[in-house]
Amino acid sequence: MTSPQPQPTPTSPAPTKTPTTPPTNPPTTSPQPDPPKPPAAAWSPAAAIAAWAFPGLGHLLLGYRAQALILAIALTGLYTAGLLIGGLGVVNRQDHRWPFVGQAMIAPTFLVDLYRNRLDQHATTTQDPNQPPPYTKPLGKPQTIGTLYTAIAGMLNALLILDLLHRTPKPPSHLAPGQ
Amino acid sequence: MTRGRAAQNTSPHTMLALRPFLDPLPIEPYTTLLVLPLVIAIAVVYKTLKGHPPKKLPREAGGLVLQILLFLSAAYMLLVLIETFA
Repeated sequence: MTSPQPQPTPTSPAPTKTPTTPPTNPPTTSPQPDPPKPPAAAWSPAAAIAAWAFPGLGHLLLGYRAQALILAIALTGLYTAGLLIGGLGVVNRQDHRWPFVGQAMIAPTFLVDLYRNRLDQHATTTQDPNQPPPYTKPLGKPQTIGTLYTAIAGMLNALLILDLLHRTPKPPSHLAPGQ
Repeated sequence: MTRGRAAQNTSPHTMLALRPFLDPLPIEPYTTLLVLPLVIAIAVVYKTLKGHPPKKLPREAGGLVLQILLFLSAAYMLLVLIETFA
């Protein structure tokens, strides 16, 4: 019976005195923060509804004041010019249904149509031949151009509404007078 | 007699002045020029929505207006040619 002989342990070589550098400690300052991510596109239906109520109002609510002013002037001017060229008769939900779809992208169109309907009803109830008609129905080019102006203004406002649905509100720090 | 004829020719409707927003404007001589406000409004709205800064907007929108007018003119000439020779 042989007893197990102890295995010779490998002896490590004697440690040599080498100049050791102190271990590098981690920096005591806090780690660098990640660069700020751009804010996620917000879902802002209130601004879109405001833009539908009046062109440019949605951009104003989100802080884009200069853009709001430009868009309000451009779209309101185009819509008003269409009404001026063709008269109230260019907005007619019954007779011109497809142009009305474009015009309805600006909410005051419904007020214009309501007012024109009231004028029609007033004219049919009074029926005084000495009185001029409450408004003149446009024909020919005034009707075409007036309808075109108002319908394109409405469709451009639809673009505004779609843009506002995913537009991030402008940070207040960037707000400067006149911006 | 003359007075009676004049009274027949001047109905209350013809004596009325133009009522803005109620009567159509007489635009017949200027219909071609009326494309300009439309094109300008489209260009301004498009460039504003693209996010161009307001200071650069007149230049950018002006370029787009010129492009649209150029293509409209080209389309007009093409249609005239087709109508002439076809």
